[in-house]
Amino acid sequence: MSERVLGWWYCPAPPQRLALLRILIGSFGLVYLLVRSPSLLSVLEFSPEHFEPVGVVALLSAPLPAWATVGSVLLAVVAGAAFVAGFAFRVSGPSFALLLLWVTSYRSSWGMLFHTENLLTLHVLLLGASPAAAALSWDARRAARLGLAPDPGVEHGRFGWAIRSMAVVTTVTYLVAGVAKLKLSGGAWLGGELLRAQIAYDNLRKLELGGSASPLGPWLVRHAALFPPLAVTTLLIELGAPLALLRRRLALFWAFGAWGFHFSVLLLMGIGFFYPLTFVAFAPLFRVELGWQRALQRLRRGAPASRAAA
Amino acid sequence: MAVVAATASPLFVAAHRDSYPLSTYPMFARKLDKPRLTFAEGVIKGGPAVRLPPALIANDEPMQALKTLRTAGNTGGRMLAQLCRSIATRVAAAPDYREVRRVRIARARFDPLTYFEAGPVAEEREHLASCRVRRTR
Repeated sequence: MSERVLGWWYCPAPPQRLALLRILIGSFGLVYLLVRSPSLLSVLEFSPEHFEPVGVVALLSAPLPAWATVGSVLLAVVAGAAFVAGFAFRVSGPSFALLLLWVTSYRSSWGMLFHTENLLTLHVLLLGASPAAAALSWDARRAARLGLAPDPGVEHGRFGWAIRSMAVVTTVTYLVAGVAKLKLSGGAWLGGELLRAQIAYDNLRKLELGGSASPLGPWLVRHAALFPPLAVTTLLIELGAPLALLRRRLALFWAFGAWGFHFSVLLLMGIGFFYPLTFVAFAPLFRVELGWQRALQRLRRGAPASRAAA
Repeated sequence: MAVVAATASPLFVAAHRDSYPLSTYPMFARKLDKPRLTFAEGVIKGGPAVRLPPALIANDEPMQALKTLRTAGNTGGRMLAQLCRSIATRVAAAPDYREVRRVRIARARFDPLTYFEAGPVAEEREHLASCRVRRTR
């Protein structure tokens, strides 16, 4: 691999940026696990005939016993808390990453793939293999007491590769989705009728399953003229995702576009991709530590004034 | 770098192949004609049948319920009968569905666009299974 590519990949970054991404993405993963735990455990009620292992779960030929399913979710929550705190990260980092991969793969092994979890799982895998607890963590505080903590002002490629990888993975997932549309449907996808039929079908099956349709979907499918521009915009966002890696301004522009796309999916089909909708999925594209530093400065400026007022 | 390469790998496989967490995200890419849908309904004496929600079929996830019904519908036999009985057991415990006497699993073809433009008309409807809701008094 050329030195230029390696230099780009191992782009120097401050340890705080990687640490903040650990806290942001790890917290999202932990809250997600807690909120979705009823759904993760609902597989216990499924008949073994419905077991269709995917990904790493393909190692199994039969469903796990109940205690192992419950245990893996509980362990994932414990490892997730340690991951966010940066406690014993050499163990908790890879453990949370692998447990999250396992429990989400296991839930997707019962006939429905939860695409909403792909990017989160990939990001946590990258964070778990990186030195993401070198700052703003339990481990870093202990290292500081021993005089072993890295200088927070020093940027290094060992903190940058995982951030770069997360940014590339984010854009590649959108690119793959765009390419699949062209491979499966060709230029016809740009006409908008396929998208219109997909939105109609998604709402139809929810209604036929005794659920409720999305707030806008059934109304919008009656207006065919709106769909060609929607289809073109969707493909532009997906195929144009790698442009976000070129400049931060482009990244911001693209991230807002992708957020708008997910917001439309929520309004039209009631499918919540909450990882990008909360903007956490796009955080690796930005210098998140600048916002953190500004918030700290504001807090410090506010603290003496409030003490004086008291 | 392995994770990045793996994430990009679906670019080089058949676009309809899907997995987790590596995916081609084919869910909105496919061309739809008139898809067949398997669903469960509650039969009420002297009234129209009511659709049974995902929570009574599998869990709160509509797509997982849909897949559960489709798999059982395609497999038939013991699996279908077992699913019908398990839905009936949940219906028996659901106060909102106390009028439901039987559970019926059916399959029909729908035109998604006509469904919202002209009305919810099902084509080629067939009944796959039916079972009684047994309540203890």
